[in-house]
Amino acid sequence: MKVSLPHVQNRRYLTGIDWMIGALDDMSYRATGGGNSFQVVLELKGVFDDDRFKRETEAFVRQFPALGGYSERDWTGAPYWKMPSPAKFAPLVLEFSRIEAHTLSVALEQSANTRFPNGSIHLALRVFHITETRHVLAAQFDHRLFDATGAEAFLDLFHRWLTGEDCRTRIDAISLKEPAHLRDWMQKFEAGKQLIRMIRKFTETKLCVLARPAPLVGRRIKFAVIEFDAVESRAIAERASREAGFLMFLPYALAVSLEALAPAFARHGAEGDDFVVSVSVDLRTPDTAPAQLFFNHLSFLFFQIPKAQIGDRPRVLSLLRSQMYEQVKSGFPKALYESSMLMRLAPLPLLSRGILRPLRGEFASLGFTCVGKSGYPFDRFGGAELVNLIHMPLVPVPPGLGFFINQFGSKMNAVLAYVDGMLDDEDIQKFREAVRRLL
Amino acid sequence: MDSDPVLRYKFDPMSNDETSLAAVEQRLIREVATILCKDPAAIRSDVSLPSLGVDSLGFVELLVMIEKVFSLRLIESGLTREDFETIHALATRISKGLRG
Repeated sequence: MKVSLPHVQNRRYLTGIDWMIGALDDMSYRATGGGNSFQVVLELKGVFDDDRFKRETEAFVRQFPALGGYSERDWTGAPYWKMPSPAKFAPLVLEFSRIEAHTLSVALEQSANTRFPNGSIHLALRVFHITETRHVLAAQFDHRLFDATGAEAFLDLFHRWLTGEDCRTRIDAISLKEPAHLRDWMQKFEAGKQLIRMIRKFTETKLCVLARPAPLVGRRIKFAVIEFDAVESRAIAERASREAGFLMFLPYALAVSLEALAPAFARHGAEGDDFVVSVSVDLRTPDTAPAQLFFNHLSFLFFQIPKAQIGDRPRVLSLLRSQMYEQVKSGFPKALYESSMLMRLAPLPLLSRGILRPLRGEFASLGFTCVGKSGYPFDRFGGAELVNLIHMPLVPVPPGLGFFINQFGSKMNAVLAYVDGMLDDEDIQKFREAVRRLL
Repeated sequence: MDSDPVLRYKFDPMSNDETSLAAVEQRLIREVATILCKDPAAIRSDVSLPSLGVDSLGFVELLVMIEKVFSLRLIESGLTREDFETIHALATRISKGLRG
């Protein structure tokens, strides 16, 4: 299929959030050599035809010039994503291998930590065949081009393509238009002031952080994946509703994750008075997600919980609910989105250092994301049955520690990501037990 | 407070209960439609909020709107499923709150 964009339209301006995600990529690269990417793992059952998959994948990715793009600045200094003319080759990594079942977690950890081979490749698909009828597709996405919801929308479209659906209308509906955001400066400065007030609040307290091992360079992100079956997941949702309130799963899951992680902080002698958690929130709606497939459509909330309160679940839930409410009421997520436009002036290396300076090198005890119910609506992928879909994000360093929850169909998955050496086997074992007991 | 004359009427606690409930429900439908970027005609008041696509953040946005428009702060009100599951249930809860 022919895709051509006029030269002047072969660019998509980056928002402040896109630029911040780029800064986190730069920050992580400087710290460990890794980047800011994430992996979506699809557990498949059935027949998987490598040749057909390769053929269809290459044809599919050619529909998206953005996949072969890279960031540039225009004459005003506004950063944009330069999209090349339709590629002669498919801009992705595509690999197939056979592995033993017991090596799967190692293989997934390795693929999640593999850097993209160059600056114009932002997608890697690795298929691991375990038996003739059991396979795992690890789809690695560059966070500069995709966020979690966008990645699921991409996989949704890919499944439709693989099953022979005519995807033209859906592909044409994907929006790659974004203004340069060079207007309404006062509004951006006002939003910036709100952000600075929030940052000041955090600088008044001593953050409780886990020490990262030294040297950091070359260290991988490791994962602890905890899967819940349909019965367990339903029980978790009911407990969340009962304890935290209707539709309050996010504060509930965050309270539990803090409770489950606090012993590891204590065991490693982490000082500080408060846990500060950055929580990414999606600004899309279910209806707009398919069109907002590329780039980052998210913002952040920040929660601050006194270490001494951990364990008092009702108190922590009350604090989390009220902090979430006050931040939404003050328009903080949108203010952050707006004010981050100003950050685009700074080159990424400067920004990645600048973000941390007022916060004395740390901006959170951990990162937290609750992807919620998967935007991927099918129980099949291509021709195979889709048994589970799990998100394994490389957590930015700092903080080097993140907790992620997603729901696929009736199943819930929880994933802890951490810099190798930050937690030991005993911490992980206790964390797994605590999450199963507390969630 | 909302400048919509219909809304001013319907938020009068002394007004007819049914009219008040229907007006609150209509206002909630409009707000949920805005949060979800949907046509209000596509929002049914008897469908659960999660089924409509409302998540934790969208729900909190709705609660903030309720405080702004109805002067009712519900975030610490227990948030029981019975009171908040659908727009209709929520409108009933707000109407009760307005009657004091």
